[in-house]
Amino acid sequence: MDLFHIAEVLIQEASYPYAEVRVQIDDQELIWLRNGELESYGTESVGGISARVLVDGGLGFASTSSEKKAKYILELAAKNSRAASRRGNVSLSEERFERAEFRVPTVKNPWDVPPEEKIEILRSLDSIAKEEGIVARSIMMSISKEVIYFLNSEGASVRGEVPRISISLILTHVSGQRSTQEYESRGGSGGFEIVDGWKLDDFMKEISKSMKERLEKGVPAPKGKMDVVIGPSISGLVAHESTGHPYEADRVLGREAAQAGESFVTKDMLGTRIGSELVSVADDPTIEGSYGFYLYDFEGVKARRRILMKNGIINEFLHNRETASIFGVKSNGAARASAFNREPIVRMSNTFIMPGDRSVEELIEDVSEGVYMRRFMEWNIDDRRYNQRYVGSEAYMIRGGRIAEIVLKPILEVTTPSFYSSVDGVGKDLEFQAATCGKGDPGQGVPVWTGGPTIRLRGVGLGGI
Amino acid sequence: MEGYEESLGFVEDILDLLYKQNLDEAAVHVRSARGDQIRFSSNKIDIANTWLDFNADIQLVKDRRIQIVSVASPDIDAAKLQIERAMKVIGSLPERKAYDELPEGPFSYPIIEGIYDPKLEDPGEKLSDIVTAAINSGLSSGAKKIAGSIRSGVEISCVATTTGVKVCEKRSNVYLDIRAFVSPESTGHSFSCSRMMNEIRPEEAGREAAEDALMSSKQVKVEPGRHDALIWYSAIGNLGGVFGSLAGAMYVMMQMSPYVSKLNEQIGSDLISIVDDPLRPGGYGSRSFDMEGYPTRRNVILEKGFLRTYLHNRLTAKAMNTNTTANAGWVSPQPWNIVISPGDMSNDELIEELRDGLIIRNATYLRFQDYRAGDFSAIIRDGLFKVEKGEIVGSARGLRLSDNVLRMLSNVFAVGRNSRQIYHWWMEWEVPVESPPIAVRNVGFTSATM
Repeated sequence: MDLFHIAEVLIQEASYPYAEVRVQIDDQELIWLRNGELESYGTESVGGISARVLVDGGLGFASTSSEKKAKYILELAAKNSRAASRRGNVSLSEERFERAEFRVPTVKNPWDVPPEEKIEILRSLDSIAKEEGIVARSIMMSISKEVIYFLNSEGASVRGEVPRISISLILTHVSGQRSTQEYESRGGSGGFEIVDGWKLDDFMKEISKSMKERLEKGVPAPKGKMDVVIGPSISGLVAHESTGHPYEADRVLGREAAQAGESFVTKDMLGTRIGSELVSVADDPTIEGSYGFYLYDFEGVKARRRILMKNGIINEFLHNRETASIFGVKSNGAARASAFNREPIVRMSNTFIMPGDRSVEELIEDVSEGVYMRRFMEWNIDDRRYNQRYVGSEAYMIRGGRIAEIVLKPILEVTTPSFYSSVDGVGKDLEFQAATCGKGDPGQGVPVWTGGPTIRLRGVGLGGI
Repeated sequence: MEGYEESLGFVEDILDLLYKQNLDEAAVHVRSARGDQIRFSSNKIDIANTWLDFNADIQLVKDRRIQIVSVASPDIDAAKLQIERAMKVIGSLPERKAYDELPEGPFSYPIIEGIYDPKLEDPGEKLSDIVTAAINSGLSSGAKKIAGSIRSGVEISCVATTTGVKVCEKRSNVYLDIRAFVSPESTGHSFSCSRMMNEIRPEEAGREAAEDALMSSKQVKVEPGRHDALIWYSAIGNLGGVFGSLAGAMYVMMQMSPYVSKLNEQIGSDLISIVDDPLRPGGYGSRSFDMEGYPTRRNVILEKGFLRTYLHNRLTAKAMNTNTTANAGWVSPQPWNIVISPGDMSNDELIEELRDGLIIRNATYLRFQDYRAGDFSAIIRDGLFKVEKGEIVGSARGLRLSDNVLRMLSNVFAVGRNSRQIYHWWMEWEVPVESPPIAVRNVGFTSATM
């Protein structure tokens, strides 16, 4: 009897107030080229079955990859739920469930593409950077397929299949005592055909030149109050870190308090202005081809677009069934689990600052003196998602509305409300980066897109020591 | 969890399969584990988890070509399928320029005391008892809200190769991670971790976290800039793990370490020594063999400020023309159990020695601007205590640790004598660390400019 069949039998026979069973199989192929040589080639198949049971306010979870033990998994989850009920107070929102199936179509099945073809793509990228003289290059390709079968005692039955591809680069350039690094990741869901659309050859050439130039010509970045224009890779990260995370309802409720932290946003801040009316931020798992794609979440709830910030006003939080129940709303389908042996928690999918109507040139030409931070390396944000820092890698002075000299490591260290309130121009050049968002205990890394256009901040401070 | 005999039997079955393939050599790593956890927040239990995990990793080598396959199922047919697929592919992979053979076994392995506690095989109600004790202790010590988790695990880990290695080891671990809140911004953190259930101290951890949260609520103003600082336990756990891991040879080869080209140079104060000691009895990361089957050994990374070795597996060692340090990782070598050597000051004496400065209780979210240069920043939380004339006078907010690995190592001016085993959720490179608090001159602190 395979795991899928075991799951069906288990849920039919479940006699708990609430029970769910999920079979998840994640297959992956990983290729890593370092300085043009194959450093590692590996494949993995991680699959198994998990169960969650809710009894008397206690939520219990258990998982196994063993078919032999699978039939006991509900029982083990129920035992845990009874232990949790000693101090537990969990409830789940009422939802309407359906039987559904979704599968991301592929033109060119990535698993049919031979490894040597994939290695050649990475080698070709490596040679571009090598020719430019970049001293250390790591290029990784990941091919994955996530298969999910979710069943619960309230009638949900969802089968999903999402193939994903990503390519990531880490480049280091050294000149004398100076060094600079860059990281980039592109990814999406679909067949191997999506790789062509990333135009990584052009990117590699451009970034390699930029790295060399900054070490040759870069001057220390200025400090003090000025206008700052940030590129899509930074605005996308900002959307993820300082809107996505603090709007996760489990963080708002303190569920992550001991781990990644809580949120400066509270339940009663819904409807409060937090930024310029030019800024809207969405999280949308239903974008076709996206890295964070899914149509039903890991609690069987139908996914939809969530507008987290609407014209500068806090509009909606990300919910699973547990947080939705506390807030008295319906789940908006934000429950995800990174593998069969992790319980579903509130997660982002594809989070982005929605595009405006300005070109990059227009955003820059209105700046008399400022900094254009096109890309970043270092970032972090405090555990309430209030005080954040982004350090530019590729960055330039803007003088008289024009790009001027290269500046090194400008530091934007700013609070979340100050950041969003200072936005006075939003570009139309929406771009997405692939990322793995980490959260939870034990940690769960899930694929997401971070996205945004070029945006302009008026009169923010650049800092550092 | 699969038993010892079952795990060993599975390893032998896989080896049998591998011997039948047309391979030069091969290695197998099997890990069978059970994990249990209770997570809590706002003084309530959020969830109780049990994981019955099984992983088999197989390294196949043919004509200097290496492929690694991993399966999560304890079903031999699943492993067989993956091996058969790999055999169709391995010939098409490029050869490695630098290759060294798997070690010839058998070896004699050290027996490390105190790394397995059978009580953790099925902890039952014990975990929720610990949670209750920690929450009650935190609340009675003045906290308004307690959050955290307790996680326990047991595992059987086996490595075998077609070159004569066959070894298994049972290990266990348990850690309690606790955070206390007096207000949303006044927080404290503590932990208790061990290989043994009865060494977990929930009352102490709850009290420590609550006391720090209370001190955090006593706000004082500190300007950004450079200040002398004491890096306390939770913080040195995270920083020490990162500073030790950067000695991994793969980071060095990728130019992603400030230790590139600095072997045998003095890169730190003569007060600082960092050792990877997997042989330490009861060490949270102690183990007797690495992933290639070599017996582990004590490696001195930093000796009185001098960088003495990088950490190697057989492949990075070959590439750098040296010997393995028994830190494999099949792809990247890694430290097992970082120990920062203790100095001679008590914790009170350290604070007195600091005189005027800051105590960083916890440092999280460490990110590099440039790994090679060593420039990084990290979020400070759970107390940044201001010390004036050797006394703690309050806690600062909104400052970020912004510095450089080499500068910090060079500026160590005092090391405590009271070491603790440290492991908690924010050990982001996941290496256990044993360390006392460390005092560093002129640490950089920045803040939001608006």
